[in-house]
Amino acid sequence: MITLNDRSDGVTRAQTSLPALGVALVLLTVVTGLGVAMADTAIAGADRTPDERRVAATIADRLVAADGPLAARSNVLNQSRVDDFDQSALEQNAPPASEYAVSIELADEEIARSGTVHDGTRISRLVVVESRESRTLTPDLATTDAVTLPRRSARATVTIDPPSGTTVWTVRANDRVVLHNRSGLDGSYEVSLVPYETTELRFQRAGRLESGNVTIGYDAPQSTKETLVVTVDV
Amino acid sequence: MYRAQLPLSLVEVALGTVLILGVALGFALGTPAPDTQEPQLDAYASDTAALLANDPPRHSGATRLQEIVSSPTAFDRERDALSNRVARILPDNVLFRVETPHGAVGTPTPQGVSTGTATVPTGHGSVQIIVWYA
Repeated sequence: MITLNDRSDGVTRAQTSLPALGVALVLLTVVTGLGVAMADTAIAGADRTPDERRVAATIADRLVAADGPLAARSNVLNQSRVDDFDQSALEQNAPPASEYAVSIELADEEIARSGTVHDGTRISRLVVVESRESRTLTPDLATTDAVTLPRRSARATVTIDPPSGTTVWTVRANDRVVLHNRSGLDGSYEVSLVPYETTELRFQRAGRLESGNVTIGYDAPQSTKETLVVTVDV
Repeated sequence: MYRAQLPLSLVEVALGTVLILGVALGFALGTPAPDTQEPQLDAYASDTAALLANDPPRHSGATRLQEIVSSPTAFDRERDALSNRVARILPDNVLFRVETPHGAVGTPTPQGVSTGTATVPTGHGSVQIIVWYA
């Protein structure tokens, strides 16, 4: 790389040669090419499809929200609403669904989808699916005048059919008056209860009540734990 | 007398290589790998909190969450049931720790893993739920 030139003054000085310059330029070009390739790969690798993830997270949030299309309360889905859910309901409640391929699965079963999802981003949410089952309770009020509902419920149907000579004036739920008629209750009444406490119904009456004179219908919630999976594919 | 001279082109190529590789390395290391676990874990934690807040209590109180934090004795009584309940709510590959004013249940939180956290204020103090992948 270094050639020694004899100079007229007798001093020999090293001088850069043309081949060295050529080699240097080639090396630098190669390194530049490699560097650009590395940077390109790094940027491509950092592409995290933010749209898919954002859409999936938003739709999942919407579906489990208390005021969402499926939920009865926050993270508690109503079974009958889940059964009614379809593609048009999905697109109406989650507008991005008409633009992206979105699939909603509950308990490994697809309940709605818009478009075909091949791969895509998944967001799972933990929910409880609640179905309401009506039950009837026929309390024996011959010796006591109070009955406790075995399950918490938001409403109950109290049917009072007193025998002649017996008058039921007032029905209290945990000391709160829910039904009252001075001349006697007779018939079927809807009462709303507080679902956050155990309810004791107390009947204020004069005379005897036999088993069967009073029936109480209430909603017993049946809940199962499931996973709601939202998959979005661009 | 011989005098050696540093070949300038080689100095240049060395400096240039260092400069370009430095810039390229900045791109390669400066862009962090996307953390795709944390949003999902946060969702799991907040779902667990919402489900506990919606569960009916086993004994007294308005909700399961309130029952747990109402007193130290209630927490001691409910400790195992709470642990079982949260383990059933969460998927099998997710571990958890629930911290309440009266104590904590679950696995001790490890260092250096992605975690999801949800904090629920209650009338008796905050309940923090921490989840992470096993």
